[in-house]
Amino acid sequence: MIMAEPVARNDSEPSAPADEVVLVQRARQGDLTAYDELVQRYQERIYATVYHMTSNHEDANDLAQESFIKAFQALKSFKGGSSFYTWLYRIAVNKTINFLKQRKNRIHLSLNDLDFNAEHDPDLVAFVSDKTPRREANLSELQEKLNTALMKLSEPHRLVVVLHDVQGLSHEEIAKVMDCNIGTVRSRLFYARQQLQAWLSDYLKPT
Amino acid sequence: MNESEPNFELLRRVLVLKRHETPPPGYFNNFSRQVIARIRAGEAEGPASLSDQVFGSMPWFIRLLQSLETKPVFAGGFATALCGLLLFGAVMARQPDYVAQTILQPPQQSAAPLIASATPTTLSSPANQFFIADNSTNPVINFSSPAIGSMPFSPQLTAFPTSGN
Repeated sequence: MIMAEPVARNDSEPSAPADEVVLVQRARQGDLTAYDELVQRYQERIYATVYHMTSNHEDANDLAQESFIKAFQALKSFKGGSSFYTWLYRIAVNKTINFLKQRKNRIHLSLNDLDFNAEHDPDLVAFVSDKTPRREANLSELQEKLNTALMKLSEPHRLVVVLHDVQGLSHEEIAKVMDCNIGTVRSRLFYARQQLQAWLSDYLKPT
Repeated sequence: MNESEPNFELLRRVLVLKRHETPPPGYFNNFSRQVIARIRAGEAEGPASLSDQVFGSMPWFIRLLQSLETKPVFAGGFATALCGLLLFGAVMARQPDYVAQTILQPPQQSAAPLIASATPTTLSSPANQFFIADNSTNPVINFSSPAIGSMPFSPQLTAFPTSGN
């Protein structure tokens, strides 16, 4: 299973499905069955975002749950100016960034296992094949190096990389989630990629 | 700045690895149930307790606690200051008489006027007695003093011209 696989998105705000509007309306009136459906709809994406930001499964579990709880408590303040999905993302992202700021310099990786498909992904296999400069490297080692490098980035830079390169969100969606302009998103993405490339240079030498 | 620059292509392929990091099997089966259970538990608890309401309305207090938790140096400094304050309080509490005497007792009256004790010994000679005033209502120089007569000059009134400068 690939988590939160990116899908092609338009740069415009995706219009919320009609049933989602109804579900949100019912949840605002305290209908937990409707909210349960909304949670199931977005749980994987929210969890994945928080997990990739923290590189820790237990923290991601707590933060993702708390994000959904906070969203339910704040539903009355949701005016519908943005989609429920963007609003929910914003809550999760803010909660995660606050958590990471409090936990500064106390990084503890608790990585999820790679799924079966990773070993058969031709792009990834190329990095651990005999042609790479680091022949002894394997996927798990690469996974740890990658997560360590990501955790070296500042929270805003890490978030942009996670949302764009891992989650597949468009620049415009990221700008809405982070409450900044698209130029800022682009420049942060460029800088973050440069940093990551420098830190992972051993693995990124062209064969 | 073109984000699809070829030099980032390898990095983007490595980042694909992140999408293969998956939580334990069946993790999402219970996720929404746990969220709903926690929401129900929160509703069942009712309104926040008095302490939550008091401390919740004091964000500076929460921030102080958080900074104490996350910064050991700050916590150490705070504890040292608190110990110092306690020690100071304990020391001062053992000396109540000293404090009371210092603050409440009026200064003792000396037998001689204060100026006598402050007067240099050279002024005590008869030739210099005219410098000494008996009290604040007398002139500083007492021309009727016998010491004036023994001086080689006598004071005279003088008028200085005010024009023609």
